[in-house]
Amino acid sequence: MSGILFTALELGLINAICVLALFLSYQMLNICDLSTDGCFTFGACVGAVTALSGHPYLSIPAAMLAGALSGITVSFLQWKMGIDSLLAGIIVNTALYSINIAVMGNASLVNLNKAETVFTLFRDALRNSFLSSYYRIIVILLFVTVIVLFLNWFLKTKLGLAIRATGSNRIMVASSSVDADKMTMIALAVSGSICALSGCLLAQYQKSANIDIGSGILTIALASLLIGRIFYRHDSSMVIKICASVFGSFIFRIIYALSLRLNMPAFMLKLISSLIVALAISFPYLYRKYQENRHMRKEEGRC
Amino acid sequence: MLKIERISKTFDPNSINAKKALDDLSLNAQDGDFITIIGANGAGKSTLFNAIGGSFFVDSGRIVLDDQDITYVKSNLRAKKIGHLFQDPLSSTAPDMSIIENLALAGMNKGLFSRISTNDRTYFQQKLKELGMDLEQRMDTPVRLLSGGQRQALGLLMATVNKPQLLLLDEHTAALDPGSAEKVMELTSRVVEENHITCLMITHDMKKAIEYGNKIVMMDQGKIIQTIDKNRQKDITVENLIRSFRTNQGKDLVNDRMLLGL
Repeated sequence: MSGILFTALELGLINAICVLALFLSYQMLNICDLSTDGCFTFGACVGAVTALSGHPYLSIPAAMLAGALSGITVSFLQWKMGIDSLLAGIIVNTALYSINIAVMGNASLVNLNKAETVFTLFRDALRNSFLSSYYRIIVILLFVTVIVLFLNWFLKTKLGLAIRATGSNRIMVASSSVDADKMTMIALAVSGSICALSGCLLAQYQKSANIDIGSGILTIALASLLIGRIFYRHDSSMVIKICASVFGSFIFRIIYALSLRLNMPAFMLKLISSLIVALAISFPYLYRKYQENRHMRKEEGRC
Repeated sequence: MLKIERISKTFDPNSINAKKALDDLSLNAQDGDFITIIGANGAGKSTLFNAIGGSFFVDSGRIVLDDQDITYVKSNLRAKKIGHLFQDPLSSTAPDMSIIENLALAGMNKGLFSRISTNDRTYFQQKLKELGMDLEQRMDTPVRLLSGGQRQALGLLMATVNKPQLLLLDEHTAALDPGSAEKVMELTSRVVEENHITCLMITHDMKKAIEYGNKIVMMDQGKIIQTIDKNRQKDITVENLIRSFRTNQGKDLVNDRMLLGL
C-alpha cells in the first residue's frame, strides 16, 4: 500500500507541475489552452531527445523553451490572426502531433533506458547517502517547489497583476494601459514552458517518451485543479491557492490509485477524470437550477 | 488641452445597418474645464468617449490631446493620459483581485517585475482613506465582495491616481443607488478639483449637468448642437435647456428618465 501511495505521490507531483501551468492559464488568465496535451508531449519529446544525446541538464531548459514556443504560437494565432482561443489551441495541438514525431526522429517512441537523465544524475549523486532510495521524489519536489515559489512571486509582480486583470476583467483592461494581447502571449508562454517541463520530467521518470504521453493530460490536470479549488476561498492568499492546486493533483492520484486497488482497469483513468471535470465545472450551474426548482415548487405549493 | 476637429465615424459602412454615430463633430476643452454632455439615447455621447479613449479609430478628423496628435494612437497607450469610467461598476475593477492589487495595477509606476512594497501600501492606504469609504481597512479583500458604490469609488481612484490629463465619466453614477450616487459624485468633484484634471462627463441628470459643468454640451445625431458656457450665461435652468433644444431640433430632448434625473 505504501508503495502505491509513494508512486501516487511521485506521479501526482509531476502532474502537479502541469496543474500549475493550468493554474496560470486557466485559473488566472481565464483561457482554456487546448494545446496542453500537445505541449506536454512536446516537452517530453524535446527533453527525451536532448537527454538521449547526452545533455541531461540541457534537457530541462530545452523542453521549457519548446513549451514557451508552443504557447507563443497559440497566442499568435489569437492575437495576429484573429482565431478564437479554443480553436487556436486545437490547431496548435494537431500541428504538434507531427512536430513531436519529427522531433523523435520519425518515431513514435524514444527509449531512455540507457540514457542519463536528471533522475539518474541525482541517483548517482545520492548513491551513498541515506536519501539514496528517495532520489526520484527529491528531484520532483525540487522542481515543484521552484515552480510554486516562482508562480507566487510572478503573480504578485506588476506584470503578474496585469495578467490576472486580463483574466479577471477584459472590459476593464480594454480601457486601461494594459495591453491584453501581450499579457496573453506572456502568460501562455510561461504556462506552456511549465507544462512542457512537466512532460519532460514524466518522460525521464518513466524512462521513455512516446507520442501518447500527453493524451488526456489537460482533462486530468483540470480535474486536479478543480479538486484543489475546494480547498481555498476567494480571499485566500495566493500561496494557498497555488499549494491547494498541487494538493488537488495529489488527491486525484490517490483516488486513482485506490480505484486501481478496487480492480478498476487502468484504461478507466481518462473516463474518471472526464467525469470529475464535467461534474466540477457544472456544479455551480446544477446547484443554481436545484435552488430555482425548489423555490418554484414552494411557490406552487402555496397556490 | 483637448482639441477634437471634425471627427466622423460610421459603423457598418456599406450595409443597410450603416449608422453615422459621429458626424463632423468638433469640441474644444480648455485646461481645467468640467464639461457635461447631455443628449437623448443614441445621440453618440458614449461613441464620442470611445473615440477619445481609442476603442476605435475615427474615419476622418483629428484628436489632439495636450499638443500631441493621438488620432491613431492605440487605446492602451492613450490610457496613460486618459482615465475612463463607465456606468457599470463591474467594468472598472478586476473582481478577482484585492483592492490593493487593483490600485497597484493602476498606480504603481515601477518596473514590470516590481512588487507592492510597504511604501506603496502606506501610499495607497492614504489614498483610500481620502475616499472616506472605510476601504483602507479592507485592502486585501477581493473587489468582488464590494458594493457597487464602493467599486465605483475605487474605479474613480484607479482612474485618477496617476493624475491623468483628461477624465471621461460615462454616466458613472447612473447604476448606483441614490445615496451612493451622491457620494461618488461628491468624490468625483473633489478629486477632479484637487488634481486639476480636465473632465468630460456624460449624464442624464440635467440638474447635475448644470451644477457641475462649467460648460454644458448638447448632442444629437452625432453632432454637438449647442454649447452653453456657464460663465457667460448665468440663469441656466433645466426648463431653459429643454426649451432651447426644442427650438433648435424641433423635437423633445427629454425622456422620462432624464426628467426624473436617473
